[in-house]
Amino acid sequence: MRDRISTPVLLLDAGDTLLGQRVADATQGGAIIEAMNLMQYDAMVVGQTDFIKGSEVVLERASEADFAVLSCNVVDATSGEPILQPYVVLERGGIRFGIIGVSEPEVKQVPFAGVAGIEVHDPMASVLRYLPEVEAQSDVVILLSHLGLPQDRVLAGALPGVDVIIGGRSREVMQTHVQVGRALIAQMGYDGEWLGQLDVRITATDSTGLLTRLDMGPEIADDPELASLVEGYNQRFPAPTPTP
Amino acid sequence: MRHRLVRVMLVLGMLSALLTGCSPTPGKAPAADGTPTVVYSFPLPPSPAPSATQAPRPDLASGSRSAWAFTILHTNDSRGYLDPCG
Repeated sequence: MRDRISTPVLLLDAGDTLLGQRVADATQGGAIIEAMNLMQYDAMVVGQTDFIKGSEVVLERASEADFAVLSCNVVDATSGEPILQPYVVLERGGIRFGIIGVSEPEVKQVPFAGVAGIEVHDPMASVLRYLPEVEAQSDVVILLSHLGLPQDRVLAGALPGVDVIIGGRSREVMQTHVQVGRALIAQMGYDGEWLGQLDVRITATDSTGLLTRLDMGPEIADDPELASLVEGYNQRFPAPTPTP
Repeated sequence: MRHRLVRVMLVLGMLSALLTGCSPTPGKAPAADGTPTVVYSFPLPPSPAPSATQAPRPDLASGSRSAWAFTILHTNDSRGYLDPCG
C-alpha cells in the first residue's frame, strides 16, 4: 500500500484495537501487536476497550510494540504522570510529525479492578499541556484521538496548533473528512473492515485534504507473512465447534 | 571549438534542469508552490490571504519549503479483529 503512494506516509491507529475477539483476547492483545509490528504501524492511541484486561496488560503490550503506544491523559493515580508516552515526534520524508495521543475519560469506567491505579485527566487540558513542546519540535501536529467525532470537532476549534485529527470511538465510516479551521478530521469505520487514506497538503496559510475509504475485502490480496501469522494463531486458538 | 563546448554545456545544463524539475525524489519534501509537482493528484483551492485570525506560520513562511504534502493511512476501533471481514 505504501509503495503506490509518492508522498511521505504514516500508518496510525486511533484505538480500541488490542482486545475484543477470540485470538486477541486469548493472547491479551499480543497477536494484535505482533500483526501491527508486521504492518509497520507508526503509532496508536489507547481507548477504553484496550483496558478491559487492565492497565498492566496495556503496558506489557506497549513494551512489545515497535511503534509508539500513546496517551497523554491516562495517568498514574499516584504520580499524575502519563503511564504511556504522551506523544512522539517522527520524521518521514523530511517532515517532522508530532503525534499526540488522547483517550476518552470512559477508560476509567472499565468494570475491572485492573484500572484502579490509573486516572484519566481532562482531554483538552492534557493536550494543551503537551502541545507547545510538540509544536516546537514538529512541522505538522497530529492528534490521535479516541474521543469521538463530536469531541474532535471541539478540540479542533479550540486548538489552532493542531493540523490533523485522526479519530476513533464514534465509528464513523466517513465519506469525506471534516475541516474545522485549518484542522482536518478523519476516522474510518470499525472492526478492521476499512482503511482510511487521508492525503494532506499544508501551506503557510491553509490545509486541504482528500479522504479515501479503502474497503479491506477479499479483492485485496493478503500479505503472505501476515496471512501466515493469522493462520498460525487460528490453529493455536481454534474457534469452538458449534453444537448441533 | 569554444562555441561547440559552450553549446554542449548549455544542452547539459538544460537536461539537468529538466531532470531536476520533473523527477520526484522519494522521501524528499514536495516542491514549493509554483513549481511543477507530481506528488499531489487532486485540485487545490487557492490559498486565502492571511488574516488576523489565521496568520502564516513563521517556520513555514521563512523556510525554504512553503508546502508539505503527505498521506496518513489510518484505522480505528478494530476491536481485536485479526482477520478483516470475519
